[in-house]
Amino acid sequence: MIQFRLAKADIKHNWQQVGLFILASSLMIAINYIFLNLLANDDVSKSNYGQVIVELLKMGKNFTLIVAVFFMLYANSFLLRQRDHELGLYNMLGMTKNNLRQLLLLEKVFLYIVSSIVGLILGSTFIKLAFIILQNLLNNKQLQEQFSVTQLGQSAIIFGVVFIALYIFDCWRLRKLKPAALWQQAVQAEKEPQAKRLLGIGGLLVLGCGYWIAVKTKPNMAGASHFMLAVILVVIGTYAVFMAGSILLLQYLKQKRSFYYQPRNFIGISGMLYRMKQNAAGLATICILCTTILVTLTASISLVAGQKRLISFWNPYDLMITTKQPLDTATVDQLAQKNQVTLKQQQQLKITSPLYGVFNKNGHFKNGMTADASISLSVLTLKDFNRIQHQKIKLKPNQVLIDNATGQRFAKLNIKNKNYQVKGYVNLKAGNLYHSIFQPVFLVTADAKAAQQIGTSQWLYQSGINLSGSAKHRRQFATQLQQQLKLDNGSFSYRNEIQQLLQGVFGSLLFVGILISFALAIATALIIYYKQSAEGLADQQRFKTMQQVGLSKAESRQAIYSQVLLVFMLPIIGAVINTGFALPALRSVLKIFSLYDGGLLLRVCAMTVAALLIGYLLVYGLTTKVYQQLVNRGN
Amino acid sequence: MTLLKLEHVQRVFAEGKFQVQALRDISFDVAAGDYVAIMGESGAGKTTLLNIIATLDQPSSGKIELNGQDLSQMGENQAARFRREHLGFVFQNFNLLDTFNNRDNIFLPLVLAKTPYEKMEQRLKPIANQLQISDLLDRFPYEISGGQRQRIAVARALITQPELLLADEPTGALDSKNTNILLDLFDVVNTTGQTILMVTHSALAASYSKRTLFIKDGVIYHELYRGEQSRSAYLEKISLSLTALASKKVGK
Repeated sequence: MIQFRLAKADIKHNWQQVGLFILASSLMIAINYIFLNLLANDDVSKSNYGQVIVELLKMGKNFTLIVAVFFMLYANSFLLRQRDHELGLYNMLGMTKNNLRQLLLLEKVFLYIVSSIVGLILGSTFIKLAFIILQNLLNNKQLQEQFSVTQLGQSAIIFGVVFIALYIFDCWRLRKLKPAALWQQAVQAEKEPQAKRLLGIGGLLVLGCGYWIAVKTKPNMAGASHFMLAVILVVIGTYAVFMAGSILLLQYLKQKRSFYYQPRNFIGISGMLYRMKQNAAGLATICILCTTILVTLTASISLVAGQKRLISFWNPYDLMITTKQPLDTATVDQLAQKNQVTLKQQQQLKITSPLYGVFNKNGHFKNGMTADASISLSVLTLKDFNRIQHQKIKLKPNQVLIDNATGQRFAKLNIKNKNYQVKGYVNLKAGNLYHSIFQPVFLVTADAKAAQQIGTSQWLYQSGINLSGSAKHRRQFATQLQQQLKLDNGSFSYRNEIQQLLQGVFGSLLFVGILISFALAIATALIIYYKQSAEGLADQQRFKTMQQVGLSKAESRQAIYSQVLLVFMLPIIGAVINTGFALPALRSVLKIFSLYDGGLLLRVCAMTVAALLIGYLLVYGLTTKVYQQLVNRGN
Repeated sequence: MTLLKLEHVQRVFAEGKFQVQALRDISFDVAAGDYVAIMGESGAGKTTLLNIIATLDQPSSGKIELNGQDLSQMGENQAARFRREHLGFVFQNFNLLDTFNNRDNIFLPLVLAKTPYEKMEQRLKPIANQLQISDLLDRFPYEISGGQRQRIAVARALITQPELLLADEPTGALDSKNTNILLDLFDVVNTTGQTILMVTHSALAASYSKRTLFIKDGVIYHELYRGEQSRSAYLEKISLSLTALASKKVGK
């Protein structure tokens, strides 16, 4: 069959690009298989907090699948566009559209079979690595890989559907193929884009708004929706700025004669300006993909890195118990004895039940569960404080001590229209009441009357107890105590339990984050590669002419590098700026998880940026080489 | 004064086991201010010869000198610099770049030679007037007609004030009206002292030259001088020579 031979020849001829497509789609299939395999694994779903992990994995599976579909559509249309000429020629030489459809079908079947075989082999190899990572992140050595053909099949079917979609797309495009177009000039000159001042300015405004909202995002209940709004604005703004802003910038540079009429700039700027219309969207996409990678990794790594601190903040003692009556110590002692657990240090605080609200800059407390509420405020008496901390501090009725995890510093407070002078800062080791998203603030007042003027009349008893005994006994004790005292998880927390919860949630978050970033990185790298090779092809004739009028090979190399560098540095610079503005918002998100260490976030972010930059430069270097080969092949 | 000198130039292309002799043995001189047309059928070796004179290719053996400088021993970078300093090019398909407007297309070789902007403007003015392209400078190549494009290309070739203007089928893509305009232009340029070497298929184009060389199978087969004769008489001789060239075999 002639189609078979042609398909074979075509694939062989375009092997560099087809091979990369196969590699990329195999990796997407591998990622998909890893998610499916983990989701089907009993060890994962039955582990502590397995439901949370499963939900996160599902989210990751769906997200990476969406990335894979969009990316494969893009890559496929890129590959097909390059073959218009070839298919038109076959058509003119007498192959019907039906024959061409068969040809494309054969190729798609080949691509699908190779991609899924390679992908599933890669997937079943990487799954071992995935389990090692997951075991460590979740600190659970009991997780074991479970091999099953079902998931291999599922993955193959899902991507079979994707390839069918690609084939339908091919056929749709084939309908528009007109062999007569072959006679026309291969490349229609595209007009130099007009600067869209309005779009540029609008884009900057939208981007600015997005940044402003991101920076202003507070760790409160409205925070998540604000952050989402910021993300949408930044995405729209990035596209507009790249599309209009890049052209404005280039035209501005072009007007600067002393700059523009330098050999390297002359070639680079004119070339970029000429193709900016198609380039801008691609560059914006690369920018958004890189931003997503940076934000995802920074957030999830910070959570894992801050996990220890968070646990010691939430549970300064092994057990943290909040009760409305003084803790029934008889029950505690009795259960401890029964379970062979010894009680170590203990601390009992009598505090007012929390008020929710927010402090402004001047220390004015706005009471109420409003959208901007971010603080839970409780009060204890000086007598209790001095007893617990073994101190002899004295306070006047209008003076308070403050334990403020947020790091905000006040000299004066105004609560319920009364002024208080802050006499000092203390650390109560009182944990985070009810483990809420609110940041706990504790005040110490001179006496109970003053305390109840600020807080509510309801008293709460916050007890912290350290335990010793075997892990099994401690766990039994904690479980039985919680049952006996009839307390919910907000009022009763056991450190090991919290630890497992956080390891499960944060660990799987990071795991999903890594896989998502990996999928995005593959997509980004291949988009860069395809862009570079498309441009290399387009630039062949251009550089040939320039070499005829006296551009040396070395000079063309330089011109190519500076042009490509300029084009490909823009998105990564944009991504770093975007991430920079996302940091305050991320900080707020982390505050919701009681992580108040901004330095940690900065360090993690810097490392992530560095890692991405190295990978990016690597891709840049490799693809530039391809571009160069293409340009020189024409000469 | 001799500007260009070729002595026993030979160019052999190796294609696998086979060797193709594109140029067997070419020797000729071009004096400063001369206007030489090179004619021959496709595959006769015209393009190879032009590439060698243009430093885009190097002879397998023999010697080629421009203004006393040996072109056969030049490195790639040196050749590129030499091209933009000493040679001007006009191509059949214009080879203008759509990424530049016409002005920048003309400036291209000067920019590559790092010429200051003011000086480029200074040089452009008289050429633009002479070629009547002043109105076209701010437009793009794809916005103007073929004849106009070729004039832009001529301006690009002349702006470096080259010692030798090389034209490769300059009228090949032009209609008869634009062909005449271009050839008249070459005539004018030549009278101001510009040396021109033109490769062409067209007997009409060759009839504008002072001298026509006929190449066949890699050697110079015949040569005609215009001298004092009228252009139509010269054209007739060229046509006769072409007919003779096509019917005879070159003995070796």
